[in-house]
Amino acid sequence: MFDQLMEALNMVLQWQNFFWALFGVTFGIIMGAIPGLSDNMAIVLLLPFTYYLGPIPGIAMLMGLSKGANFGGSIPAILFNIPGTPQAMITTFDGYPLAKSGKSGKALKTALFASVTADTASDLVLIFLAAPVASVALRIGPPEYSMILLFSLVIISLAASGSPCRGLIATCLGLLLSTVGCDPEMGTPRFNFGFIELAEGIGIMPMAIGLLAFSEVLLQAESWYRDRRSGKKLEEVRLSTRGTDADRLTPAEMKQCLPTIARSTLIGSFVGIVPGIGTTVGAYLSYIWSKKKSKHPEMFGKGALEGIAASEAGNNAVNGPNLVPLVTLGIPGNLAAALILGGFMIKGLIPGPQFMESNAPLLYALFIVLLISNLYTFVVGGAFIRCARKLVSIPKPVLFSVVPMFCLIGSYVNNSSLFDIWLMLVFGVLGYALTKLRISLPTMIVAFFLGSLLEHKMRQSLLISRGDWTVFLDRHIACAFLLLTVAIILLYIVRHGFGQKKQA
Amino acid sequence: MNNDRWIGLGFLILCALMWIVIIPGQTEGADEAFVPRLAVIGLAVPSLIMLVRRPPSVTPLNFDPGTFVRSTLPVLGLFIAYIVGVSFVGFYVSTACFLVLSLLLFGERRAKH
Amino acid sequence: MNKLLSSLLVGTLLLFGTAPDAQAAFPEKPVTIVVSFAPGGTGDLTVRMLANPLEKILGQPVVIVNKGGGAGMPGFEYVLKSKPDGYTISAPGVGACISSAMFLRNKTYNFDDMTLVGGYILLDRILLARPDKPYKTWQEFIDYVKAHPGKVSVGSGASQEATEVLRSFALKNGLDINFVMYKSGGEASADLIGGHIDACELGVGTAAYQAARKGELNVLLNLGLSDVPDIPNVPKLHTDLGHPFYASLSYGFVLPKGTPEDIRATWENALKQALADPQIQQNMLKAGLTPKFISPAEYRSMLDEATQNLVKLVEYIKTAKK
Repeated sequence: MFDQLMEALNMVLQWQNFFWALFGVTFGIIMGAIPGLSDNMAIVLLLPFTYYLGPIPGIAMLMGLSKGANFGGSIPAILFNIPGTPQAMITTFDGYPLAKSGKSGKALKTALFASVTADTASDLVLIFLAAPVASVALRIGPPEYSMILLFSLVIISLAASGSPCRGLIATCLGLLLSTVGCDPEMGTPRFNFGFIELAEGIGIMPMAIGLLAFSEVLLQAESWYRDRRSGKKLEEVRLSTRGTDADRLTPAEMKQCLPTIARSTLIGSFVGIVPGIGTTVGAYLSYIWSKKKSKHPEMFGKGALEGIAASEAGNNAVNGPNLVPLVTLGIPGNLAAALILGGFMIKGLIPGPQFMESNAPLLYALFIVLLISNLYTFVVGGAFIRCARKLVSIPKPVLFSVVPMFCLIGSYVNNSSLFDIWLMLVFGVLGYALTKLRISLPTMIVAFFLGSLLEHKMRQSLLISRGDWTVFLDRHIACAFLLLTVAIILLYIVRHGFGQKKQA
Repeated sequence: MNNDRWIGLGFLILCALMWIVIIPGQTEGADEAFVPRLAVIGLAVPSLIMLVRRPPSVTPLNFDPGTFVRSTLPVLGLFIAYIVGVSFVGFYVSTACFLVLSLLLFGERRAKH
Repeated sequence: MNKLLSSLLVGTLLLFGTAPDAQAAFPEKPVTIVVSFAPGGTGDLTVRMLANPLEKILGQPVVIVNKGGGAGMPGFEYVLKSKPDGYTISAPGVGACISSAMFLRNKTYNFDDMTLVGGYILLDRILLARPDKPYKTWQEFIDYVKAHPGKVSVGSGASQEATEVLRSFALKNGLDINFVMYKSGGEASADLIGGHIDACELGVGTAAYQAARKGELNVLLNLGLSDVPDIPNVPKLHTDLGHPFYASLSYGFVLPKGTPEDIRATWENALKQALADPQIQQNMLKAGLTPKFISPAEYRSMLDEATQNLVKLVEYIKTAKK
């Protein structure tokens, strides 16, 4: 074991690894910070590089991209209320109000602190717990998976702020959208309206970019115009003065955020291990749980540091554990993992169940690089925060012109498809309308993610059990989550009744 | 009528449209239509509640048709032109035009000091 | 500020001039391979593996563009509509789209509407099961299913075609099997290894296949036409067992209709040479794929047969279900 570690260190201690990890983190933060572009897009753009470099520098760069972008998205989320990546959407809840009250520095630093801490912790989960976690993950079959998803879905629809009616509408809209594509079982088209581009479902990127970034631009442009017209001074984001408390994150505050970060790391890691769920769900679930556990839940949504910490920790904690199924079984859990798999295979290395044993030095080297990348995120992120202050002084017309351009680029790049751009526009308008109607976009988006997986897994469960619904009761884990779900619904009804949820 | 009621009504109409026209038109078979129908029911129930119940508080809808037409529509229109431009003329030219026009659009709106 | 912007605008417009066309040896500028699948998949991977040698042979940079989505069809059809000058080519080509076109649009492709360069991999679908199951061979599996009707689940790694082939076999032989579709080979592999389904059909080259190579999974059946690399004695559904249908996928390069013959031939030779590269052979074999140059004529007949196979398969299932 020790000589494997030594061999790993030998592999790591080459300038390429350090350089490409740094490059990945930096490029990732930039891409994440530009609304319309995202971590997946950064990965796709640099794909040729990934394959061209060796496995360690290539993966160092890939993971650096993910880590950087997961933090970078919070920058415009906090400063402009426009999330740079879909998973940063939750950060806008508390980040933007904080920025408006002049504490942008504090908000940004909280985001960085939470991101890096959670990322490191979840990387440690990957390194030390990969094998046992993988064997648990294997026990999660379709029935368990669907009950976990159902549980999550119920949580997010109940926790949506505002009236429960609107929460349910948001959830069901998301569910409906998730059914577009083709039938999970027979492969026949469903809700395609003749567009073959919809055959694989609504593209997540065009949808998220449209709903979150583009619609926000429409909304902000409108209020900017209205305030200009009426001469009223808009609530602007004020730069926090250097060196003041508003700009700093004090050690006391860091300590205050630690329990939140710990909880969110746990949730994020769990979401990461189960392949296919994603960072946005991780962020939202972490936020909801932290709000519940907080001593001051009423502060959430108005500028609670814990809110930012929960969201950022929740989304960063997903990426490390996402590699668990890859490293232990050779099964990728997300796009980055799929590309890492590809990068390995192109070089003739085949991940699989025995990969860990036969290639231990390579894996150890990888893990070391992952941990180092977190350091990079911290340093580079800190530097960006200093520059980010300048971003606030960008005149709004420039923002309103440049962000739509990036939205166009970001939605085009995934499939090199013009259709996706139109799709993004449609969702942009939809997002505008739904925000006006005060229907929660995060709930809808998360319901979209969970909904398609849920239907898929439930249909699989029923196919395997030949239509026998008791399969959800027979299997222990599935039954447990089902009971939890029912319990939560009952608790909710008991506490709030059927009417309007009491505004805290 | 209060906003909530309009919203409820609107969604109910959407639900009816979905149930009667869209779902049968775009799906094949009961299995395939199950989750969509379930989602439509999930949409219809709160919409009905919103339509029927006494509105909890009167929060004005943040929508002014005038502002919409004068500011949001032009932005949308310009962006649509941008997309069309990209498909016919190419990316760089369209982007350059879009950026210039967009800045002008917002600049023009600035009240003369 | 405005002056700067207007000069920028003029400058951009000037840039937008057309380069003069010159008649010289192909290729003169970078070529673009449009991969009709999202990055990271087997198809995408094989193209990227080939990109390196192709670049050296063609002497020009090879740019890979992913145009995924739509089950592979938009990306493929984009190339068909491009200029037939050889600079835009589709890979892994039309083979994967045959199935999508059938199931999603109920249509088939007419291979006269395109120019085939050649094939480079034949991918078979295989049926795998955990070694701790009471059945170790295909015959034992059939017997087991007969003894336990309605209780055996067979998953699919996102191949509708392979599922339908198995379904046709089940219908023909009176087997009551629960077919479960997965969205990706990875997902299906995980559930197979985890014991949530009894058997699963997957492509050669997936994680489960690698596990089978190491003996951690059993290969019960080969639904395709060639031999499964490294795993001997696997019965072939069509060739050995005489079932009328098979599930086999061919990857190849396809150019738009009307591409001049000399350009097509350049591509064909480049492909042939690239496949002969020992590094490519080694890497692909390691991944479980059998690279083999398939001449355009043979590729054409394979595609025609595959289409016929699929059409008959769908017909058969429709009638047998009644």
